[in-house]
Amino acid sequence: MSQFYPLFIGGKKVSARSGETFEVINPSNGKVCATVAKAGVEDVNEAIHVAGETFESGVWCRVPPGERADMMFKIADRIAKRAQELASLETTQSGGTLRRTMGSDVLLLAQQFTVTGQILNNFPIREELPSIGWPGPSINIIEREPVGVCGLITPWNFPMLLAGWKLAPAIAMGNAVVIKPASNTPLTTLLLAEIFQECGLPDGVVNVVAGPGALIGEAIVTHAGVDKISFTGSTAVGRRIMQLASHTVKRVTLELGGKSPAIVLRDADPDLVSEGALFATFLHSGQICESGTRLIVPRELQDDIVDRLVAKASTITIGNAMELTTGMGPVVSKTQQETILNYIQAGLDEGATLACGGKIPDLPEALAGGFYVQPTIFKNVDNSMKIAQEEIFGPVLCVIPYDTEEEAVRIANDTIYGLAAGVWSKNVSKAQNIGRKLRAGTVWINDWHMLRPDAPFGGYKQSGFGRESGYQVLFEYSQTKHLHTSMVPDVNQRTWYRLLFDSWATK
Amino acid sequence: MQVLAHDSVAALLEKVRRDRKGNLLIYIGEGCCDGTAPYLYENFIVEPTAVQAGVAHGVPVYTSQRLAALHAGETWLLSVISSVSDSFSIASDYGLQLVLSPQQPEQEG
Repeated sequence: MSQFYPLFIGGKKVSARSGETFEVINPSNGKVCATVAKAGVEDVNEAIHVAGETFESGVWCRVPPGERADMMFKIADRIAKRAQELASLETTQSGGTLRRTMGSDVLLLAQQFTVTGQILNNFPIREELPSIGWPGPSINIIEREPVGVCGLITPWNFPMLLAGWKLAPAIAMGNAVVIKPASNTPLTTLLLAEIFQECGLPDGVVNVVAGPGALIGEAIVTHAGVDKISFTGSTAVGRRIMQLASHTVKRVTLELGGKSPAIVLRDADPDLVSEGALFATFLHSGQICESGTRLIVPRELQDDIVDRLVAKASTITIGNAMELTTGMGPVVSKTQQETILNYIQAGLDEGATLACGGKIPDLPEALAGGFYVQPTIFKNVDNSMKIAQEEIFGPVLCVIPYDTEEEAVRIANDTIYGLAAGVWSKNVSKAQNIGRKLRAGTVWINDWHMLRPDAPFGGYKQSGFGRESGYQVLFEYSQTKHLHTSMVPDVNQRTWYRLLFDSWATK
Repeated sequence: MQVLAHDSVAALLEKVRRDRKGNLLIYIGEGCCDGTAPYLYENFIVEPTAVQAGVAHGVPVYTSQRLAALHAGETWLLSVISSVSDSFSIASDYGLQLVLSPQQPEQEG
């Protein structure tokens, strides 16, 4: 029997009021790995109420920033102590390889809290403006205050890490939180809530409501008691959230889709490109919003580059995500697998050349129920094709030939998205200059996926707005107050009141 | 791009109409890490350039001008599968998900 995971509201593990549950499937073998309480609107309203009460009580938001930073460090330590458990659970629910969740995700998660604490310690929570003497002496203080109750909605591809991206700054700035993890992958977020409690974070600061359905998502986004929404997901849902959030004029941060281009210049190191481009595309089976899915290469080098890519792709070990030898695990669901295969067929129909992959791999019987797709590379792709324009969210690399560098930049920017981009070249300064022409929130030169807790991450164009990470994210989870104190005690010295009144107050 | 609807969509819409009073609309966007398009929304405002790609048992089906152009001349069948999904699509409240598959026009209307 699979383990039961209750909701986490007000520091208590609770079943859904309806008593309903839903199952979480391990994508590596298609089997149920957990049963989770299925939150309904009543549970969401309760979580928002608790978060609001907790915020108003001041039990967390009035804690000095230095102490909140200390809590970040404590949480980071605790995450490190429970790293193996977190990584294993993340792999089980999401299909992300244990090699990655253990070797990267959990370390980055701990680092996210550590760095957020460090940034908070140097963040201008309070600034006093210099006196300008007009219209009279006054003290002017600018303070950054928490927003209030934040509704956080996270996706299934990196559920643990992306929860950390939102939770760390939200908590650090003194907010209370209601977080709704993706229904495919709620387990590590529920475990994180337990870790926060172990660290002494007051009950009610972080509340977790899990469960599928539009109703509970809408309840969070439309509830008058929620002050801010941070969402990671698709552009279409981002638009839906903006519309729903507009009714109560909530602050919104959206980290949305991508179709990220990588330009290979003629002088690029072919060995570096062949590994780097595959790392950019096939990590987590391509289910990363900033995956480098369009490789824009010099036309005369296309065949050579593709030959190298195909040779290297054949060395990727596909299999059970729990095995440390596995480089590429399954995609998250059967539906996702079918969607990817449909796109591969569309690429063939439109005349792109399939260089490798394109099918469900042959795997041992034990993995027969899993949702696997071969690493797939298309060449001779035209940027107007569906596979080059639509976000596939799977292990499909489109190699697009170009003749001039101007054309390469034009192709790279010819997308509705602008999340990430890259340039491969031995001439770093030239690559950086080209990088500045790319309309994307992150540009990597000679690398990919290099996200840091101290560097802002977010989209240009329809990839969203607002930023995760960096000191910039602390602005997203706070609001600015100007506290003006007049130092002119005598009403008759307040010449500016004469803008309204004809006579002096006393004569 | 033309979208036809399977009977399973009618059954879903019948349930939704009982529970929601607003205007229903199906929007075909691109999937991402929150789930897979298309989405069934209530009172959703489409962009001025959106293209109507069909009517599913009385509910208009829209997509972006860009996707309509990419899939020009194609016919797709909208149907319903069981799924634990998010994506703010109302279908997910019923444990269902709308899916599109390439189809021949004569299959169903």
